[in-house]
Amino acid sequence: MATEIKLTRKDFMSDQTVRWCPGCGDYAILATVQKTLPRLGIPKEKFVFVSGIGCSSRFPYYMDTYGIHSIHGRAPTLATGIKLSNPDLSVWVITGDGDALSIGGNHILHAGRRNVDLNILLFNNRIYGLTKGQLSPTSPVGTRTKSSPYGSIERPLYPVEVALASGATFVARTIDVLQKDMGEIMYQAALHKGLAFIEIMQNCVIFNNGAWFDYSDRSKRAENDLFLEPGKPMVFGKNKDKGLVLDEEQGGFRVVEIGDEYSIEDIVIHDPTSLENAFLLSQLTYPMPLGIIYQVTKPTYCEGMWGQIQQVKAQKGEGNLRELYYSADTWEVVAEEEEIKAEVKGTVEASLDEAYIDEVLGTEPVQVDLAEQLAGLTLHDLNPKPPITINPSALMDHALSLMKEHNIGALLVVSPDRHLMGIITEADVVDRIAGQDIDLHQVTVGEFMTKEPIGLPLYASVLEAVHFMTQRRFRHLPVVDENLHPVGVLSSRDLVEFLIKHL
Amino acid sequence: MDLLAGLKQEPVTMMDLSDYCTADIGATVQEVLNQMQAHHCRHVLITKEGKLAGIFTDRDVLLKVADNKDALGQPISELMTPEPWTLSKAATAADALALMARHHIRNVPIVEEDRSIVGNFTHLSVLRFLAEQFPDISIGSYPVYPRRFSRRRHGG
Ligand SMILES: Cc1ncc(C[n+]2csc(CCOP(=O)(O)OP(=O)(O)O)c2C)c(N)n1
Ligand code: SF4
Ligand SMILES: [Mg+2]
Repeated sequence: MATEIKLTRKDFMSDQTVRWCPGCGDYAILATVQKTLPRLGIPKEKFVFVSGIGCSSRFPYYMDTYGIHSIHGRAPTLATGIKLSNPDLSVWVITGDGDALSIGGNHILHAGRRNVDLNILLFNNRIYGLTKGQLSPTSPVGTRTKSSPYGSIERPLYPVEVALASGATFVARTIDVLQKDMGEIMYQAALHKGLAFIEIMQNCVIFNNGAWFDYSDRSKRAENDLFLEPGKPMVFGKNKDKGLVLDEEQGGFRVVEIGDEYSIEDIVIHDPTSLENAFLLSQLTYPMPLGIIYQVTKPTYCEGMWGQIQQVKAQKGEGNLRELYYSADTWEVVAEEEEIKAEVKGTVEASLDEAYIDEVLGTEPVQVDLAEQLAGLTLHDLNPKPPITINPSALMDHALSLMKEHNIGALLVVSPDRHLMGIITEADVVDRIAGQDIDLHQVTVGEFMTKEPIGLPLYASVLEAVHFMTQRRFRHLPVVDENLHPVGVLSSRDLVEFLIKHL
Repeated sequence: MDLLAGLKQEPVTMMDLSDYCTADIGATVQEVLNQMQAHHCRHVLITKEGKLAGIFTDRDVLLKVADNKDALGQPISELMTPEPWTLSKAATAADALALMARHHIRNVPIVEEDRSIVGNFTHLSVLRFLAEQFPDISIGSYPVYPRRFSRRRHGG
C-alpha cells in the first residue's frame, strides 16, 4: 500500500551555495521547481536532474535530488538513457539557449522525435551567460555582443518552434517573473506522458538585462502577454479588448481590436491539440503567447522500447549478450612478434673502429630510451639558431654576401613589422640565380624569395620537423613564436648534429 | 627501440642513399648547373670513367658560381672538391655519422672497392631513417604558419 508522501520545498534544497549573480532569473526558476515537486507525490529519490553546460546548467547542484552536471549540449541524450534504463524515474533536463540550441542542437531534436518521457526546461536568456555574454541562437537580429560587435545578422531560433518541429508532445512557454503560472505549467509537464518542453524566458541581469522587459515588466506585460487557456478565445490587453483572428490572406494570426468590426465570436479559440495553431503561435512576438501551446498524447519511447523487448522475449526467450557478441565473424588480435634486425658484419674502409665511434658519439651508456626521449622533444628544446633576416626590398647581391658571411644556407625575409614573408635558400640560388642573366645589384630579395614559407611553432615536436624535412625535402624550417614572428631557423644539419650529440 | 643500437647496426646500404645525381668530369660548370636545376638536385658526384672523382654541391654554387659568371664556362674539375671522404658498403649508419661529425661534411659517398658509386649518405638519409622509426607521426597535427592558431584558452 502506497503511503502518502509529504515533502516540502525545503526537502529539495541542497546545502550548496548558489553561485548565480544576484538578481539572476535563475533563482526564481529554482524556487518554483522546488515548490512544484512536492505537489507530485513522488519520493525524492525518484527525481533526477540532468544538465549540460552554462550558468543555468549549474542547477543540479542546488537540488537535493540525484543529478548530473553533464556534457555540453548532451543532457537530453544522457537523460534518454537514464529514463530508458529506469522508466520509474522522473527525469528533468536543465539546459540553456546556448547549450540546447547551439552545441546541443542535434540532441534536442532526437529527444523530441522519440517522444522520450522527459521534462526539458530551457532557460532562455538569449545569450551565453557563463562565457560572458556572446550571442546565442536565440539572440534577435541586431544584438550587439563581444562576438557580434556590429550587431547579429542571424535569424534567431524560437525554442518553441524547434520543439514543435522535433515532435515534442507538450510544448509550453513561461517567464521567470510569473512564478505561479510557471509552477502550474511545470506541474502539468510532470504529469504529461511523453516529451514535455518548457521555454522559460529568463533575465540575465549581467549580460543581457531587460531582454524580456516588454513581457515581464509590470507596465507592459498586460498589453504584450497572451495567456493561453484551452477552449477559450485568445484575447489579451489590459481590458481584454484585443484578440487574434486568422488572416487567411497572410496565412497567420492577426491582432484585432474587439469592438465595432470584430466581436469576441471572431476571435480564435485556443486548441492545444492543433499543431497548425501551435506553429502559428510559435511565430508570434506580439502578443507573446504564454502557457501550454501544444499538448497531445502519443506513444512514448520507453513504452515502445520496453514493449518491443517484452514481445521479442515472449517469442525468443531471454537474450544472451555473450552469445550475441560471438554470433558473427570475430577476430582475435595477437601481439606482433618483435622484428629481428639482421646482424651486419664487415670492415669499414675509412677504418672507423668502435672506439672511435664511441669517442665521437660519446661512451655514456644509454640510460633512457632515446626514441622515446626524441618523441617528447619540441623545437624549443633544440634551441634553434636565431635567424639571419633580410628586408624584402634589399638587393640579392646583399643576400648572397650575408649567406656567405654567416656560412648559412637560408635567410628569412621579414617585413618591417617582423612578420615572416619569405625565405631564400641555397636551393633558390641554384635554381633561379646561378647561370641566369641577372644583375644581382638590380633585383630585390622580394622578387626571388619563396613566399609564405611553412613555419613551425616553437612547441611543435622535433619529429614534426623531421617529417617536413623528409617528406617535403625542406632543409631549413623557419620557427615562429605565437605572434608569428620568426625566432629561429632549424636546418637538417642542426637536427643531425643534435642527434650525434645526444646519441 | 634503442636508436643508438639501431644506427650502429643499420648497414648504410639499407638507408636512403638517393640524395645525389652524377656528372662526368668533362662537363662544364654550366652543364652541371643545368642538370642540378633540371633534377632539383643539390649534390653532384663527379665521375671519371664511371668512378668517383669529386663532389660539387649547392654550397659550391653559392660560394663560387652565383656571382661569378666567368665560372660557367670552366670545366667542373676546377671547382669541385676532389677525392671526397667515402665509406664502403660494409659501413653502418653510425660510421657515416661519425665521419660527418669528424670532418664537418654533409655528404659521404658510399663506394665499391673500385670506387664506382653505390650511393650518397646525407642528412636526408639520417632523417629518413628517423622518420621510419616513427611512422605514425605525420605532418599536420600542429597548426603551422601561415595558418593562425589561438593564443588563449577559452572560458567555460
Ligand atoms: C565543448 C564546449 N564548447 C564550448 C564551451 C563554452 N561554453 C560554456 S557555456 C557555453 C554556452 C552557455 O550558454 P547557455 O546554454 O545559454 O547558458 P547560460 O550560461 O546562458 O545559462 C559555452 C559556449 C564549453 N564549455 N565546452
Ligand atoms: S551571468 Fe547572467 S545568467 Fe549567468 S548567473 Fe549571472 S545573471 Fe544569471
Ligand atoms: Mg543562455
